[in-house]
Amino acid sequence: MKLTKAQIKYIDNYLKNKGIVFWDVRLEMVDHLVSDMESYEDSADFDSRFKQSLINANWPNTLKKVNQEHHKATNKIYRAKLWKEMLYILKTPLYLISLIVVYFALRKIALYDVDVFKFTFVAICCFILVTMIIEIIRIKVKKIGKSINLQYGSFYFSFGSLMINLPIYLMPKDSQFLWFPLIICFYILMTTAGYRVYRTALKKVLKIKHASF
Amino acid sequence: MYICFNNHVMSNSKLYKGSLSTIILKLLEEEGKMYGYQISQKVKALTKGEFHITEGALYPALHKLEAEGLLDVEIAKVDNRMRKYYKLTEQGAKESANKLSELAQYINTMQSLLNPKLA
Repeated sequence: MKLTKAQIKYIDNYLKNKGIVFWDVRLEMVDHLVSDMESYEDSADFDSRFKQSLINANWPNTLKKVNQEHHKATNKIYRAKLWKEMLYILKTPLYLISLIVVYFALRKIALYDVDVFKFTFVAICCFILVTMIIEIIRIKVKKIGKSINLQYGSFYFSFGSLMINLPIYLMPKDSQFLWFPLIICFYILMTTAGYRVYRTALKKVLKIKHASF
Repeated sequence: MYICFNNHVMSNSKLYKGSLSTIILKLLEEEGKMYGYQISQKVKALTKGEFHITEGALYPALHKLEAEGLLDVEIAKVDNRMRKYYKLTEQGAKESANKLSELAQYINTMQSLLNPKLA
């Protein structure tokens, strides 16, 4: 018995109400339950079959754990991508040379004009912030919904911004002109890698969305 | 995580964890691309119902293999819903061969230990 669109929607809503808030996590679970239900050839009603399929998957009791497992696995995927992207940037001559040039330029500015250096640092941070805001608006306009892939992609995009405070706090005050440019370069590296990870996540999510039409 | 074997729930052990990844990689090597439910049913069919991978074991294993870069994912629309297919990456194909070889070696070693006369 093939399930109707309304019945599949019911299953999706059930999982959503039970805490599986990300649609790209529910996607696989819905398919599993529906496949199991459709494999039966008896004349049982939808509710009985649905309850049985949930029991077969042991999901009534373990949905919280399933959700946590998805978070862990997705976090691992995107964390690995972040390090991969950082290595890629460092191994690409154009990017590496650009970072070195930026470092020495910032160091020179820091040595000769502290105000210009501070302005440059604020300008870099604002540029990154504006990019993040534009991407948030873009996601809202595209009505992508709550996606676990996009959640972690966005997190690693902002990872550099979250990490920058500690090194600034810890750097030796007497050699700021040496350390601050280095920290900024690391911030640029991490944020650029994070942006590439975010773009990968967005591409993946849009591909799924287009496949659903 | 439990893998059911003939209705007896066996305790979690490194052997079964390793075997599950190998089973998944081997099936995907043979079939090309499969979805989660299909994998569990295939294992059940091949072992004539003796061996049943629970969903609590299967999906975390699939996601772990995906996180490790051994599996790639493809989403397709099937009968009013979306379906996630898994297939081997290039790295996954190499790893599948390595894991099968490891498992074969393990079985030989265990046979030598447990049945020295036959070895």
